[in-house]
Amino acid sequence: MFELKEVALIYETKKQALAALKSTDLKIEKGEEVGIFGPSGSGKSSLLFIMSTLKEPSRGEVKYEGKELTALTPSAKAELRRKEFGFVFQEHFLINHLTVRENILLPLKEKRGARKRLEEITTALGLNELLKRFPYELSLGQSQRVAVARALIAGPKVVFADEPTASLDDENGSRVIELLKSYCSKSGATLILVSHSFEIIGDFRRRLKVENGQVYEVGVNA
Amino acid sequence: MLKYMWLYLRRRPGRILVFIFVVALGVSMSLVISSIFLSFGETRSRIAKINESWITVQYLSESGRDESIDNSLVEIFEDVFGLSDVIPVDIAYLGYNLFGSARANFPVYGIKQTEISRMLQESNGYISEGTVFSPGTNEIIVSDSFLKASDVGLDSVYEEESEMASEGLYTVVGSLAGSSVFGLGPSGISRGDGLFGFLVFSEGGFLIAVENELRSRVGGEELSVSIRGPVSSRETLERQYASYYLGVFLTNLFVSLVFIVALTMLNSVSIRERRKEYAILAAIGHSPKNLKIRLFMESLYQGTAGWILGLLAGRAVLSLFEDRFFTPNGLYLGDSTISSICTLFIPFTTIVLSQILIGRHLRRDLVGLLKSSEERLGLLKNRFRNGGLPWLQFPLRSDGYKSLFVNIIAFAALVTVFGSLLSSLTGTVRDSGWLFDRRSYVQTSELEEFTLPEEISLKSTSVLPADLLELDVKLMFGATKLFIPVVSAEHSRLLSILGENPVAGTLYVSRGLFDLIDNGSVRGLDYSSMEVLPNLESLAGVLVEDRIKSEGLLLSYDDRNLAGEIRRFASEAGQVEVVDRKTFELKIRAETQFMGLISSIIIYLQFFVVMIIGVVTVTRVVLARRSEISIRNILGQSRDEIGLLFFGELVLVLSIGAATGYLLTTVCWQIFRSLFLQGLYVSSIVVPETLYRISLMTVIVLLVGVITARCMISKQDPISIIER
Repeated sequence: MFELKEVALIYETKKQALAALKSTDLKIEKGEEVGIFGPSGSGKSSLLFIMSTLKEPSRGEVKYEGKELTALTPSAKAELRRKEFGFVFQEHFLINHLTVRENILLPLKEKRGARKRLEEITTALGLNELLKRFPYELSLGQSQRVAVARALIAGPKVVFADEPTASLDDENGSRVIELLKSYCSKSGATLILVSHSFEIIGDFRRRLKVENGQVYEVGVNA
Repeated sequence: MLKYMWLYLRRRPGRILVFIFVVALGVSMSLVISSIFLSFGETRSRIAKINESWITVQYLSESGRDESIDNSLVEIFEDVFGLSDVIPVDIAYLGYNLFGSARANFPVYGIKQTEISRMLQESNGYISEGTVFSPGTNEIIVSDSFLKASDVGLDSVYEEESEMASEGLYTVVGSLAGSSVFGLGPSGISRGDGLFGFLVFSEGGFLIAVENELRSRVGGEELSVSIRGPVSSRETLERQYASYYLGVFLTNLFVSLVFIVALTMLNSVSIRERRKEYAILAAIGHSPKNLKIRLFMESLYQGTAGWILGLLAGRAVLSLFEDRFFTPNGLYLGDSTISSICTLFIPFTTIVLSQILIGRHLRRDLVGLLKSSEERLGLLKNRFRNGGLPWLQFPLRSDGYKSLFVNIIAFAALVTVFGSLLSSLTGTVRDSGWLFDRRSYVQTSELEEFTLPEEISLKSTSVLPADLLELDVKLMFGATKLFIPVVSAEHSRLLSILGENPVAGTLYVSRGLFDLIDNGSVRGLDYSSMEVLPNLESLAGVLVEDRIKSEGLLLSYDDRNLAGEIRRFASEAGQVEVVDRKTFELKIRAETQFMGLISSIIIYLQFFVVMIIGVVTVTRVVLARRSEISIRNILGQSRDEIGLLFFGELVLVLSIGAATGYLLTTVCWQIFRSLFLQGLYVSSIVVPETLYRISLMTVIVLLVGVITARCMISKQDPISIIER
């Protein structure tokens, strides 16, 4: 599904060049459950952003289902993100003046036929009572569950999660991870989750470690 | 308190200066615009003021002085006052153009040369330039303001065609300065066809008594003589000033409203920004009352500073206008004390509103106040949150559109108000010319010798001898003239609109004119009965008399082009006056020029404000919502889609704002009309014109907003913006 060849991300300033991600080769198959961990500033989020078209690599090729992502126009990238990708971030990034319901439906172009899907997801995530509220009226755990619902509403093929549990307590954190995993296993979607803690991704089938911009395979759980 | 103010001033000089500047701008604009209105009133009053110097006893005659009337009057004068203080005069009236707002007529007295010094002494006038007139000539000396207004220099030949009594050519040889507007010329100035009579002098204190005595004597003798003196002059002044004061009041009200809205919004933002400060002050022991007094004092200082600055700036602009605009157009500036006091409305209302605003915030408990200072959403949030207008919720819930929303409402309201005033003024003049749409009245000096060429009489459906009655109709600002044809019962059948047997002495009128006369807005009527005729529309009327003097011809025709031919023929034949469609077209142009200018200035000023606010609002909204734009982009919305979202939001905010402003003002205007403008003729409001203006300007603001939004939506990686 994803094929990265010699991908690197280098921040250049006048005085020096800083490699956030060093030359990386990586393949991720469809339906895989990939956990990426590493200390802060190691380049794990950069890897996720490059794969999800949110950042341009400084060099190298990023292919998604055979298509070269760096060659796409900004509009084509946006279209790809809308149709195929779902996102959950450390901060929930909900839009403050939209209700929970409106926030969840945001990735959908055609919102009319989405009622059933919305009901399924909000029931699964326990959000039915909160649909008319605004983000500033929610707790952190509730906000993150809304962000998960928003990521899953369009039925994405790939779910990118960047430190989704960092601002949550343990109970809420594991609940969010479980929700993401269960969606991916049911729908056959690929899950790419980034965390600074190995504990979070400990039971993922495939685990990658990023350190100083280098990506290492840690091992595959049976 | 002063120390606190000083700290506040040092911390937020920008906002305070902006507040003071906006107050000053409002005050100076209000002062200047209302002074322009008052200058017309002042100039008219200078004309009427001449009647406070002496009493004019006058009668109309076609063939020079009427000996029998003269003898009767002399008897009265001898009997009551002794003849020594009376001089015979003939009077011509010259038209005075008040910068296109309306015309006013002032008298030119035909006197013996030996009376000049007496006249100047009585009227406190003096000859400022040129020489005095010579007997037996057409030389006149007139007030310098008239020379300026009509652009007539000394030694130039002045011709006034449109005033019936002042037929002919005059050579202006001197200019008169003083507090009154009038003219002097040699005996015979009205050329045998016009007004004749006497000027009666008396000590200032006795003039009123003399006028009243004369009225009762002349009334007893049943002489058709009119008397003008201080009593009638005061009535005229009161009537004329009343309409100008209404103008001043309305202008001040509308200009003030615009600035009060702007200032209250500034205050609202400032108070919201300082909620935390108020919460902390409250926490360390300041009572809500104390905080309110603090804000009151702040607003008072700022408002007073703005008011004084505005008055100074307004006076400076006025003195500049005086040199560049008033004096060159023959207008007197007059006393602006009342306009100055009226401008207090702006700071006063703003201070009151800011007290109400702060009161709303201080009603919360301390924690609520502190928390509310963290809130990012605005005042309208809760109003629209669960309301019944879900389609309106979306843009108004996001921060920043409120100022644009409120301003577009104010803008639409202004366009509606001024558009309505202007179209009502234009409409009134147009309505008064309804009868002359396919008719021409030609004033003839010698009817018997006057023959129409065949090509005109054949094309006309009817030609009948007629007179023309001129009536003054009171308008919202000043007055306009209404022309009523007077026809004889014998000929009236020729005028197809009157039916079979019109009754002599009856004034046949349209419903509109009937209401107007009924309200007492028309002066100068002479008839015994009045009847509403459905055939007559707008402001039309015909007076049927037994016999008429037949000063002219009334021609009716189907082909409107004939009006031009009649006008050309009348001009070649040396006829004095023609009243037809063109007369009213010219009147519309002349009488609405000023109102058009003022409303354009105000409308375009507000439009400019809306444009600036549009750009600032969109910039603020886009900047404030950068992270939202990035989130939308991450979730798959392209720049074009986000641009479209802003477009949709702007369309909603602007169109709903414009519609609200229009509807609200129309309703308020109707209520205002029925409450305050009773008895004044207000023509129908031309809705399409107002709607067109509002739509056009809303679309321009929309385009400017969309272009701004499109430029602001960054091409950067969405994640970089969000990470920042």
